Amino acid sequence: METWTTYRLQDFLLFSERVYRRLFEAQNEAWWPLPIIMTIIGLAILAVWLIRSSKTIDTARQMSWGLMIATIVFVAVTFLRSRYAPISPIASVGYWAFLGEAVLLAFVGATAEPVNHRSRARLMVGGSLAAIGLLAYPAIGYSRSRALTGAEWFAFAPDPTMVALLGLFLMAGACRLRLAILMIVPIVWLIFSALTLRVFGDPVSWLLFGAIALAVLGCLLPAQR
Amino acid sequence: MTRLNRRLFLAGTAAASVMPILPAGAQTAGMVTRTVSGSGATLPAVGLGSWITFNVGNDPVLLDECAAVMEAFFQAGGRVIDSSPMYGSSQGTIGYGLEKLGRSDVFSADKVWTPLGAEGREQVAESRSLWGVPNFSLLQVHNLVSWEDHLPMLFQMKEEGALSHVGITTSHGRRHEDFARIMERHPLDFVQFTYNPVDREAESRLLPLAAERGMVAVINRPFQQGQLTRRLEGEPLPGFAAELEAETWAQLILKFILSHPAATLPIPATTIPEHAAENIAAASGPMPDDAMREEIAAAIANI
Ligand SMILES: NC(=O)c1ccc[n+]([C@@H]2O[C@H](COP(=O)([O-])OP(=O)(O)OC[C@H]3O[C@@H](n4cnc5c(N)ncnc54)[C@H](OP(=O)(O)O)[C@@H]3O)[C@@H](O)[C@H]2O)c1
Repeated sequence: METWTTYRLQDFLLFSERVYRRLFEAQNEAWWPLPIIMTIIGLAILAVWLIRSSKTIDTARQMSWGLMIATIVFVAVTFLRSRYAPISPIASVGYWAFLGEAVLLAFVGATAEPVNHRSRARLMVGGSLAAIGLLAYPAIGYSRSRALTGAEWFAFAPDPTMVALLGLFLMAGACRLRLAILMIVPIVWLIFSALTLRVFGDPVSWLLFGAIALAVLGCLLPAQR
Repeated sequence: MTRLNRRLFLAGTAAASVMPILPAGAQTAGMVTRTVSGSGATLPAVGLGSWITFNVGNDPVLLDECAAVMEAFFQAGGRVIDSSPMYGSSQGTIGYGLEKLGRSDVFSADKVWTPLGAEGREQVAESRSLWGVPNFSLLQVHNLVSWEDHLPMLFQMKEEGALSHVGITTSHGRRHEDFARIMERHPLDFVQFTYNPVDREAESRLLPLAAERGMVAVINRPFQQGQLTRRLEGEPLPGFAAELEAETWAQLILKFILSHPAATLPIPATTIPEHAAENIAAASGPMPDDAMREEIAAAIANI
């Protein structure tokens, strides 16, 4: 016990900030310009969830889950397993957790209930989260590295993908229990990421803690008007 | 005797000896070395750590940067590289560097780190293939994890000729009592713990015991994981640093460690080739005596 109390948060981090940042650079360089195209697709998905329901929109919403499942698997395989896991055993766990989330989403689904009377408050919270994942992340990354390939992008990096996913979950208007189950993996992952950024003294960790708080708050709001 | 002569020991005294042969291209003339009592192996007294710095995954840019650090280290005369299965991809990075540089003269210091005694040998085999070495020069029980199982296994490997030296490690003053007890009871070649002008707990028991038992004391976290060098960055060096031919705080700290009467062997980690060379260079030139060591510690404490 005496031994464990002498460890600090940074003792559990095996890699440096530079190596962490290079993960995103290398990922973007390998897939460029797909990150931009996927962001546009992500914004289209966000729009589909924001506008009023219709037959076509409902079909598009169903299809959007298929895209999100593919996105989660893509991030798990190309980023977590191929790039992050070699430097962090927690990322290997994350890889399996992301795959589990994709399976959960495929089988449980996020929109079983009628979604015509979704609460405005949840829509706003969810929409904000999705916007953080889709737009704020690349903006922050660009402002720091002065290169679009230096940023974390939706569908290519785990954090913006999970933040946007939480937003979509809230916008879909599922009941609290279903939402809580679906949110476990994204929230646990984001806590890990936020702690990692804390060790680096990166203020984006506060953005992540804020996003987690927003997601929990959104979950507590009533699903229907 | 001049003040300088009185107060300085030239490298080559006390627990140190001078490298007998000068390898081509290496700047090891007058460099402090350590001789392992059991095997007679002679090693440059500053090594290279790999915790965090070499955990770079499969990024080719970063792998090449690490290989450049290793190249500077070898060219300056370094030989001992320390790693562990705990350090992410560091072992593989070292293997990459050794292959790229075509170096087979590394003194490979690795560790066993698994709570399962039965897995020890398997882990060693995996580490060996990551390093790409036929056998390890030194294997240490990392942080005393399952040492009761791993230590007999390592001694057996040594007997079989599959390993040259055996050791144990700890850091940051953890479990010093258990550590000392194991040192007293087992014929270890190397022991590894933390020591620097700020963390001096090892002076009371572990360092004297290492000297008494003829064990080489590998010193981890010589710069407090870089906290110390960062804190001292930009601060003027004390006047006496010039007498020691120390051009940086890092060299002054290493000279403090190297001049302890025990056979210390600091293993600073770095991502910068110039730092690797600078650290090795600290093992050459004059070393501080007891009084000057205290002055170094006091100068650092006052900043
Ligand atoms: N229990 C154990 O077995 C155990 C525990 C801890 C450590 N270790 C071993 O001991 C090694 C050393 O410890 P450590 O890596 O924790 O910490 P350390 O060597 O005290 O500090 C490493 C830091 O010092 C900086 N540095 C190195 N040379 C420098 C120079 N000449 N000037 C300025 N800064 C310099 C490096 O930054 P730059 O990259 O900028 O040079 C690096 O960030 C480890 O790598 C590991 O192999 C073993």
